[in-house]
Amino acid sequence: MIKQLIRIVTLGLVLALAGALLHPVIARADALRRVSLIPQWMPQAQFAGYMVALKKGFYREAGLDLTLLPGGPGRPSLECVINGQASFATGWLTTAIQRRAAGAPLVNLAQIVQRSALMLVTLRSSGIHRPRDLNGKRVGLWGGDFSLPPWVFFRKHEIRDIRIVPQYHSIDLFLKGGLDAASAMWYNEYHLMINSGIDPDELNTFMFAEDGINFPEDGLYCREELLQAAPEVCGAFVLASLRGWTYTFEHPEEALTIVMDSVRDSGVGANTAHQRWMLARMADIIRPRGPGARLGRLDPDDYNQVGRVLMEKGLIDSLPPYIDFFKELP
Amino acid sequence: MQIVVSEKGGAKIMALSGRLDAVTVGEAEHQLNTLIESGQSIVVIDFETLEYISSAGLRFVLAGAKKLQARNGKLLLAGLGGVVKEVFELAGFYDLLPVFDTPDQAIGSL
Amino acid sequence: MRFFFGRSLATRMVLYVLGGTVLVFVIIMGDTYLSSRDIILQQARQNATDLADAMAQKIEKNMWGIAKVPQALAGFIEICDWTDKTLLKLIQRQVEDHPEIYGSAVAFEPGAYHPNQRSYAPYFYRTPIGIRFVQLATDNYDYFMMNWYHVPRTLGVADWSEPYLDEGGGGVIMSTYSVPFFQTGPEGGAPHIRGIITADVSLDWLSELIARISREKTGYAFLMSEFGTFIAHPRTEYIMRESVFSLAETYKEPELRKLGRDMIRKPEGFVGLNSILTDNKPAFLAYTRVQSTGWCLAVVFPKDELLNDLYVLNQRAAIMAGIGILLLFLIILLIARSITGPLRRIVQATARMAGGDLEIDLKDIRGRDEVGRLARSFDRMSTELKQYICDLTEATAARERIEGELNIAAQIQKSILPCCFPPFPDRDEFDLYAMMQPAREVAGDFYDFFFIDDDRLALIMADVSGKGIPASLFMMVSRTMLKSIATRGEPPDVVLAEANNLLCQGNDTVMFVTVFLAYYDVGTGRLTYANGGHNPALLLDSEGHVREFGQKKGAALGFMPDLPYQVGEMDLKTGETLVLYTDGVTEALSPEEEMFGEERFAALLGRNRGLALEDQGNRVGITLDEFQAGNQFDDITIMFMKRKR
Repeated sequence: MIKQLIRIVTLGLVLALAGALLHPVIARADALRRVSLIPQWMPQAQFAGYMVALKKGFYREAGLDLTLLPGGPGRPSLECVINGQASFATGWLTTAIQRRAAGAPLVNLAQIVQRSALMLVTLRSSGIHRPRDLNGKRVGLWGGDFSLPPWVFFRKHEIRDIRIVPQYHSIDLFLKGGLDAASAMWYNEYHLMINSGIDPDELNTFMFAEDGINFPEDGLYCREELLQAAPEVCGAFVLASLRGWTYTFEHPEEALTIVMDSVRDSGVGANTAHQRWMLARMADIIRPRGPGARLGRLDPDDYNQVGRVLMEKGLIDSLPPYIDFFKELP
Repeated sequence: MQIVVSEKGGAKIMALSGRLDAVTVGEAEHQLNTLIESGQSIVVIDFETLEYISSAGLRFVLAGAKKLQARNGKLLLAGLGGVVKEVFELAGFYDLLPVFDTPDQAIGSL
Repeated sequence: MRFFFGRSLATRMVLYVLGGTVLVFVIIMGDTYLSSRDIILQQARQNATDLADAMAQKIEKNMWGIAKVPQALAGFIEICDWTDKTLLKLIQRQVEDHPEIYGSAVAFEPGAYHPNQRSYAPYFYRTPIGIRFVQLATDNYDYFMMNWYHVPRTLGVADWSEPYLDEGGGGVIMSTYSVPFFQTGPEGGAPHIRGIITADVSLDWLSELIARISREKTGYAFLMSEFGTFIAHPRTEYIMRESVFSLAETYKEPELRKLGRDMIRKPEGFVGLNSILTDNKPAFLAYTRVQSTGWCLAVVFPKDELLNDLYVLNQRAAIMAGIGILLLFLIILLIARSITGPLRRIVQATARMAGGDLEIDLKDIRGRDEVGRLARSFDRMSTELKQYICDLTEATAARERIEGELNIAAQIQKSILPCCFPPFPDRDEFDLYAMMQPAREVAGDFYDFFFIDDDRLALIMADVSGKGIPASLFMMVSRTMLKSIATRGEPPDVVLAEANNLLCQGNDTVMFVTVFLAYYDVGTGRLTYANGGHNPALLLDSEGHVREFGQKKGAALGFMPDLPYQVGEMDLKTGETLVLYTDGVTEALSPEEEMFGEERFAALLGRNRGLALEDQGNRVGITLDEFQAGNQFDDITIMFMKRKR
């Protein structure tokens, strides 16, 4: 009996001690909310803002202990958020709208990339100078949502007779002359072409955004539940992320260094020149332009245009209301 | 002064031209001595082209005459004229020496 | 050991010789360096090109060999009947037999393997524990999207893929050779593609090859893909990350971008450049293409490495040249000193000699060269100079002695000739003045006057042939003789005859003397005279007329004995002056060789007749002096005697 008493007392003491010791930890753990962010692709300057915010401690200052998950092929970012595998994700607007329209409880916290960077690139020597010259040519298109702006483009310019070739993950086919026109992101594939020895003046480019086909791309998403349960966390996340992007634009070289570190750490082979280009182009497509533009704002006209195309293509039945979809945080 | 030595009829002719004075008398003495020592016994001095003679020249002539005389030779004078003749006359030697008009005459007289 | 830098022979020699040598050195070394450099660089170009070609060939051989394997398999698959098992065995065998192949797959077009099967791609690959098999066609892996399938399938031709990093980790660089295989179309139509046969190749051996070259002293190599990405490079951080274009972009070198474009387009090339591509060092770059893969192989020779040996050689040459010049400098200095040392001593000796110190000794300057000879001739010169000075001193002493004695002789002569005027102050019947100006210190002319009895005054004017000491000696003899004979009182002609005979004796030198002897009877004024070869006397009357007398004469005294003399008589009127003179007066020559002459003399006498006799004499002297311009050739003697009562 005394033994039992001693056991109880010892246990009690241990618990009390543990409680005393753990208290600050628990207290601190409460102070930093653990969240995660999954980008839609592998680490590169496309996600500089988040890397910078993480490195510079903006998330920490905002009370978030953020983990930057590795993104890439085979890990669709929005699905991860829907599945709960990540708190936040970056993703394309078109994809998000389709998921939302299909019932996924996805909300847009910030439209980061307000200007589309999608484009078609052709060699001048192939004789394609105007959109209509694409007729009869081999055009490389990416699958999925990447084919939407081109679809609108072809319709707009009455390009009916093209041979669409799937373009997968490299521009080698284009470089080796297997395509007359290739899809490219202005911040990525276009520069890869330049750094494969093609001079800009040897290329003709068709930028969809300049042709009135502006499908905003990267945005920040989370589950609606998270927003409802912890709006301050979402708000903090968005603010810190935007802060990260702002800092990136103001300190490009420092941001570049942070990006390069992350890139190398992830084992991806990348060079500084390419990331520097990507960073500069991200600034071009993220920075708000025009009257009433704000960093992170989703333009309702763009939203509606995208929605219309999606409906036309039969990808959605109806467009979710803007206010349901885009939750602008203070 | 120039001395031209020629030979005629076994006699040597010394033709003097220019001035025979204390400066030039040495040459003449040397020439005459050479002739005398080479065995010449008859010497004719041709004064035709001599412009002037001083007392030194006069002495030279007299000494030459005495020298030749001592060796059984003879000194003949030819072509004395003008100032040169005067000097001989003034000194009174003109009559004491064999004087001829030309060297040929002098030689012819032998 | 002082060197007068700037003006010394030593300095000049040093400067010129060294300067010339240095110049020659510089020219030779410069030319050698430049020529060597050109040769080296030329050879480097050749070497670089050759090396690049050799390496490219080596790589090509390998790649071409490897490519043959899937090509063969493609041929078999197209032509032969085969079963599933056979196919698998074939693929396995392919990998087994060719160690350079990492793995090989035969991937079929959708439905090409089996109408119901969308995809089929057996793959055999090498592991440390043997050949393993895997089916690439899985739900997770859509091989149709892969570059190794998609590109050759679209292009329709066999192709080496752009090098990539093996995903399996380990960072192995791989390239895949994909060969499309075909099926003939229905009814012999166009063949359509049925699938792709691959051979995966690790490119590690490339890195080894490149590294091996780079380990050698000069130069290094690198390999770029056909799009400029570095496949192998001494800087491992470039491999698969940077391309020549990304480097050009990062380091802002537009020229490098242009070069990169040339390198991936042109079959070969050679450039000199200084770029990040050559580690920012001036270098040569030779590039060529690997034919099958289109890769660009470049060989870089940094110029300084190439020229390193040359620099070292040049340095050595420069050092040796430097030492050589230093030695040369010392040698020249020594030589110069061996010349200037003795020269300076000679200079000092000369200065001392000029100062009068003739004692110099340069005998220790030996040597058979010019300097030695100079010293020796200088020595001789000083000896002879001493001798000469000695002789000169003696001669001068002797001459001074003679001059001294001459002066004494002149004084003696002068004192013998009566020169006290008036000589007979108590005789008022006449005035008498005579003067004699010798041409030299001692004279050949003389005059004399003495009473031979109460009434008769003997006057003698004489001229010995010649001048100077011989004449003066003869003059003394003849004067003495004449006086002693004349004082006996015989007539003048007799006196002359006797004097002549006496003078002829012992007169080997044939001296003769012209004499004008006159007796003047003081009471009667009658002159009795004889002339022995002398110039006539002059009579100057009170009107200034001058007439000669005494022209007829005998010969000069001393030539021949027993000669006749004539006597003449002349009366002197009161107031008339007898002038006796020697031919030094009338034959005085002006600088233009004009003779003073009898006429000028007569005119002079006429002009001055009124003066006292002494003054008249002085005037003659002065006039003749002027006339002769100071050059008196013959003695000038004049005697004036004027009858007063």
